[in-house]
Amino acid sequence: MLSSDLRRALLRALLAVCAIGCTRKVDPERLAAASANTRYGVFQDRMSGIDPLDIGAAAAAVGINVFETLYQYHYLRRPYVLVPMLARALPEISDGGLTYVIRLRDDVVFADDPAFPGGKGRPLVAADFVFALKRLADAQNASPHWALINGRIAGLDAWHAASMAPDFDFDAPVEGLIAVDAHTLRFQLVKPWPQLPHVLAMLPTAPVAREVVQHYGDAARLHPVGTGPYRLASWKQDVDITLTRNPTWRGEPYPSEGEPGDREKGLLADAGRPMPFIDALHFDFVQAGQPSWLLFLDGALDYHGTPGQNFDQIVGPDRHLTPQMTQQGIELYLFESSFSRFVGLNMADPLIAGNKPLRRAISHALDRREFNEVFLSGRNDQPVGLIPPALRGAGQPKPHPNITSDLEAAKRALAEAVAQNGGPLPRLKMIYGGQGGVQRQVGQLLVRNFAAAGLDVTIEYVDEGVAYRRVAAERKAQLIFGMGHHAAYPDAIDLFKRFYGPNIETEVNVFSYRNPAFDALYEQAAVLPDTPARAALYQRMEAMLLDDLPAIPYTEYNHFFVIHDWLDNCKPHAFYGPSGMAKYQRLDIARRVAALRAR
Amino acid sequence: MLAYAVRRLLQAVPTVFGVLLLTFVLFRLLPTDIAEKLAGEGASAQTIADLRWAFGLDKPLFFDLDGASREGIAKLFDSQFFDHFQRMLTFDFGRSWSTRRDVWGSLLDGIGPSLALTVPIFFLTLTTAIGLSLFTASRRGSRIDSSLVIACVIGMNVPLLSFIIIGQYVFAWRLGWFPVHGFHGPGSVILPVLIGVTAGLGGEVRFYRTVMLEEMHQDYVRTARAKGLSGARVLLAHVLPNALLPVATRVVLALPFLVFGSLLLERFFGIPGAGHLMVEAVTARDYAVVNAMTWLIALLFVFGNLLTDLCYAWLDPRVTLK
Repeated sequence: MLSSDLRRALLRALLAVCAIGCTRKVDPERLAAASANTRYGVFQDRMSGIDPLDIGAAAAAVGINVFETLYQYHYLRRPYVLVPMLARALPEISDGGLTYVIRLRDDVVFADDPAFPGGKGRPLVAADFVFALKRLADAQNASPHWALINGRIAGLDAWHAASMAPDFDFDAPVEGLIAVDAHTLRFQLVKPWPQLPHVLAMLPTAPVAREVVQHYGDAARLHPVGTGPYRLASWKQDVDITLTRNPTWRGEPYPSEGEPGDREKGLLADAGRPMPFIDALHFDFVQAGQPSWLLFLDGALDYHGTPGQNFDQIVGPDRHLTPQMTQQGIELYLFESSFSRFVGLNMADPLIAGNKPLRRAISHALDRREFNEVFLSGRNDQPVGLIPPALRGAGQPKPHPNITSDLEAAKRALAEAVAQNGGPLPRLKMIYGGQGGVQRQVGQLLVRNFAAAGLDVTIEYVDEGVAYRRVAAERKAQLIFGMGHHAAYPDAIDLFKRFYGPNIETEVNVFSYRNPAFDALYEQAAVLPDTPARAALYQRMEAMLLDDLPAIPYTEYNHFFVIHDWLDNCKPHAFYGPSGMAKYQRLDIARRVAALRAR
Repeated sequence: MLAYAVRRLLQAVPTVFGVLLLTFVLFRLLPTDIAEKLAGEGASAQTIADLRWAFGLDKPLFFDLDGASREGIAKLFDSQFFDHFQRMLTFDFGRSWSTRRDVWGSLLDGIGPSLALTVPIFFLTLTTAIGLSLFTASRRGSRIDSSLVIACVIGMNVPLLSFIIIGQYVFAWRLGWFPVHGFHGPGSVILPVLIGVTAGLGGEVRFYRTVMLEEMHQDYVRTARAKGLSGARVLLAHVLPNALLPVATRVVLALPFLVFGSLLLERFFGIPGAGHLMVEAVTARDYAVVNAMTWLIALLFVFGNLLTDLCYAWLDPRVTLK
């Protein structure tokens, strides 16, 4: 038994330890980090490499600061408009849209790297683009981005087929992909392709130096060398990546124009000044949500997404920042979504294809609001159509009458469907990509929604990422949950191609949708440049799809992200994301340090 | 002992090859098309075909009879099956299908950080659990014993994730005693090690307590007490050495698997270990990594079993290896 004196002494010692422990001092390392002109972010998915050849979403968030493309989207103007980046001007189009001549800037050099003689980066030439696009087409690379240019450039498909031979010559010419001279690139297309400039604004088409690929071989993906404002300084795989300012970058001034309201928000304060304003970008690999969020609250990260488990603390019911966050100097931004989700219908199934009232019933039975509240913290908007908001332009149209969640309308449509079928409808089957707990919870909600309308639906959970069209056919499923479209560029033709009849065989048209009238409109629109005539065609095509309902939109994603108030020049950009806006952003370092000292 | 070891290793050969064959067959029997999975949602048929070709998935499963009839007998073995066995025998695991990284490289890169976490957890848990189990076993039926048993049961039922989330929030973020995340030196692993030990103690103490109690009721313990030996001496010099056989089984079998780390601790504390490899490979249907890990685990299991048997003979002179 301890004496009372000893017990009192132990208690005092314990209290002293707690007091010391509860007094947080500023870590000198943290202070040094906050005092540097470095932007701190995270990536949550493993990166196997940063190479335009097979660049994924996680790597693109870093690679966008290292690699450049022929064109880019103006940072401030909306709707999104292409402007030259490595090209001197927009392409010169001739031969009825079959020939594109692009003249390159002559002041662009690759970043310094040991792959180059003497370690000095050399000037960019047109042949670098030919090399980069051939890498996409080389079957040995099995690039997922080959589909971007497959079937478009004269001679390239044949070159791709030949690349499977063991004695294949990589330098065999491609008639439609020519470096006319050091600064002139010519594309000869199989048929008119007005979206080519958009594709040439995508990272997979960024130029790559042959010397880098030859020097590093298979490890080239770990040594990204581009022409961008930043270059790779260090990369500890699955730990962190640091990019530093590229001293040989050609330079670019901050935009001098934007849209109404930008000046008032301070987004034009740096107009005309040379970019970038930040010296280094540091990304930590943080997989789990809690530590990532805690690091942001601690000020160790400058920007962050809004994790689902913390969403209610961050965003109030009115979609504004909560007072708790505002007090900490945090700001909230909302990205227009370039992503929409739909329930796909298997139009190869006679029951589904032949019964439009049934398709309407399915659409009306989906309780989109409930799904949004239960699974997405209420963050998303109800869809108004198939085209994602980022591509829709200004204004918020009303939802198409066929895609409203309306139980009574669902029951009326179902009664029509039963009458058309000449009797009760059989049980419908839905396949759902994903077999985890969340998917099954979603499935329960869907089955309940359908049952409330009188629809008998059963769900079979399959692997994610399978060829859904084939699986739906094999499992005799009428519905496919979890389909979606992520617009890679601001042109809806990319969405419409997923409903084009001939694309059924290539697995792009997952819905097996065949409508000759739609196909005719698609073929007209696919070769038109961005004109009012084409916009009118797009409207008709979307209306046709929403009337036929081969796909039922059920949510339009809103991407929220938060930043600390010391990160300036932030404007949500649907195609660059928070990580890709680095060259425009500026840090108020004094404010960051003051915030750290105040914690 | 050497002859026994060699015999056991030879006996393990058909077992290990059986594991390889089973892995190969089961993976091929999956309804998923691996190339489709790798290509991702919305991929064109062309991309899928390219992937199939690039990963050798378009080769015949077992024997290329058509190829042999065209090009000779050597082509007979140009199949997925023989590629698989050749790679395993030469430990050429190739590249991960999902990340394209060298499998060996990924494993070797991850082993160091994983061991930095799992070795201290293992030995701290072991020594603490043995110490506590001896302590409570010697006080069986007392309030201390009951309290500790209850604490162990509670600890066993609290998931590791709960320990991690609470520990990280309180001790790293709120109190700032440890870094929240990152692997920047020995200080970075203190909190995850403490959490790992705390989470693992419950089950270990319960197990070792049972083992100690069993020994404490043996005749030699009564004899030692009757001779007047102190409690501590009875426990440490008599009970503990005799309780080492089941302890050795548990410990020696666990040792080879320390290299594979702890998925949750590594994930939450940003320790770039090997813990994620198998889990992510299974989820992604990354056959190259699953294959490599299965092969290595099978070898480690054989080795661990053999080591356990050899330890038996060393610890207990009554045990003879035949």
